[in-house]
Amino acid sequence: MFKIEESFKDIFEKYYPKVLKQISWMIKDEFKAEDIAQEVFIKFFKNPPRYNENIGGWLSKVAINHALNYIRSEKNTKTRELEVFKNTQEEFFEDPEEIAIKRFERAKVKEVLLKMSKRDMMCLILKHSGYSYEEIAISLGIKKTSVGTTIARAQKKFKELYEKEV
Amino acid sequence: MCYDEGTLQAYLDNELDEITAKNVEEHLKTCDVCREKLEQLKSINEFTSKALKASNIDLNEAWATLNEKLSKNNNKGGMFAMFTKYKKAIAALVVVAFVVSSMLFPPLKNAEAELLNLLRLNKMQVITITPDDIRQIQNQFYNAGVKNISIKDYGEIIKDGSLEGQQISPDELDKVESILGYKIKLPADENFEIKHAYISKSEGLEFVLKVDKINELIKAFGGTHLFPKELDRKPIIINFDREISMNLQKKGSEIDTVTLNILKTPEIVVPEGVDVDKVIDALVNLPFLPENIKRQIAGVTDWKETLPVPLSTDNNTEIKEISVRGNKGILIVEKSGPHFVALGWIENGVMYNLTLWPNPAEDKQDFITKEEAINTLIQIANSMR
Repeated sequence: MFKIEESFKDIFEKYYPKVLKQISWMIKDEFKAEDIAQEVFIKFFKNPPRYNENIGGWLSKVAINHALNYIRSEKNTKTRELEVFKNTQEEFFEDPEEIAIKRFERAKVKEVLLKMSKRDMMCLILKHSGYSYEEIAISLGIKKTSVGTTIARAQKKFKELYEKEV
Repeated sequence: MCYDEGTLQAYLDNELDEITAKNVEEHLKTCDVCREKLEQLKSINEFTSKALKASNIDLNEAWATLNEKLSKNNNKGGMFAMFTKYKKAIAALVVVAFVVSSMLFPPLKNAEAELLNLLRLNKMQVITITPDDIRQIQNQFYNAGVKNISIKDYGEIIKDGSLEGQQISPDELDKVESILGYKIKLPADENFEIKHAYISKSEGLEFVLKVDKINELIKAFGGTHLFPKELDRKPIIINFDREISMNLQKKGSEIDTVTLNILKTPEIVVPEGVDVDKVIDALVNLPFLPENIKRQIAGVTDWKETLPVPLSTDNNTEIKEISVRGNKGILIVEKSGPHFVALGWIENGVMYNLTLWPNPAEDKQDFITKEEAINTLIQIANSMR
C-alpha cells in the first residue's frame, strides 16, 4: 500500500523509539504508551501522510493527538487494574529498591513536566525523544529557527522546577 | 558578535547548518562569554537528558506486535483493502487448496510455455472462510497423519514484478490513465478531495504445481477428482495490471479516512492443452475442504470469468450485496464500532474498492455511525465518473 510498503520497516525502526518515548512522557501508564505508539504506526500504515509531508513531524503530531485523546478518555475510565497488572509484570525480575527509586524519579519528572507550559513541555519531550529540530517545529507548529531558543529556555525552567521539588 | 542562547543550543544539538556551525566554533575560540553560556547550556542539557532518559525499547518485539496488530486489524474487517491485498487473497485460496503458506520465491522469468487459454475475470464472488473452516481443515490433516507440509513439495508461487511504482500528485490525475494503460473512473464527490495517489508496479503471480504430488494428497484423503496431468509443472499465471491507490480526504478535516484502490481485473493464463473445467472440478472437490467452502465454490457458476475473493470473517462482520450503478457490489461492514466499512465492485472490467478506516483514537466529533460510514462510501461510489 502506497510508497510506505517498501520502507515501512525502516521508518518504523527509525521512529518507533522516538514515538514511544514521546508518548510515555505524556501519559502515566507506560504499558498503555506502547499501545498508543502502535496505534500511531497503524494509522501511519493505513492513512499515510501526504507524499511531500515530513514523516517525523507527522508521526509526532499524531502521537500528540493520540496521547491527548487517551488522557481525556482516561479521566472517565478506570485504569487502575491495568496499572497493577503492569507493575507486577515489570517488577518480576528487578530489584525492588531500584524499582522504587526509578518509579519515584519518573513520577517526579512527570510532575515537573506538568508544571511547565504545554509548549515547553512538548518541546522538551520531543527533543529528548530524539526528534530533529525540523520535526519538532512541524509537530508544534513553531518556526524551526525558534526551536533552539525554546529548548534552551524550557530546559532551564525544567532544571529550576526540578530542583525546587524535593 | 555574540550568539543567542537559541543558536548555541542548536549548535549543541548539531542542528546548525555547516556555515553557521563553523562561525560559532570560530567565535567560541575567542569569546569567553559565549563559551561560558555554552558550558551552562551543556550542563543543563545533560541534566535534562539524564532526567528524561528512557528505558530500553525492544524494537524487534515492537515490530512483531505491530505486524500482529495489523494483520488482526485486516482480518477484523473481513479483509484488508480488498483489491490491494487480494492478490495475496488469490494466493490464499490456492493456499487453502494446497494448504501451503504464501511463501514467495525470488522472481523468475515466465517459463516459455505456449500459453493459449486466457481468462479475464470480470465478476467476483466472495468466498467466506470462518476460523472454524480453518480448524476443520487442520483437523482433517491431523487425523490423516499429515502434520508437516512444505509448499516446495507441491509447487511454487512465483511473484514477478515489472515497472516501478510512482507517486502521482493530485493535480496530475489527468495523466493517470495513460500511465495505467486502461480507462478508469474517478470520484467527483464534492465533499472529498483526492489527497495523494500512488500507482503500483504491475505484477504477475505464477503457480507451478507438481500435479502428481497434489493428486497423491487428494487420494490420501479419499478424493477422486484429480487435477489434469497436463498441468504438471507448467505455470498458471495471474497477471495484475498497475494499480492506483489514493487517499480521499473530507474537506475541512485533517484526517484521511477513505482509501480508493482501482485495478483492472486480473487475467489468468492457463497452459495450452489444459482443460480449465477439469482444474475447477478438482478444486471444487478437494476432499479436505469444509462443506461450507465447498458449497460456496460450487455456487460459482462461471469460473472462467469469476474471481473468487476469499474473506475470512468472524461474527462481527457483515457482508451484503449492493448495486453500484447497476454493477454488483460487495459491502463489508464491521457490526460493532468503530466501523470498518469496505465497498468493492467491478465496472467495465475494472475493479474498484473503497475503504473507510475508522479512527478510534481521534476526537469524538469525527466519530461516525455505521449508517453514515456506509452512506459515505456509497455516495463516493455514485459520484464516480
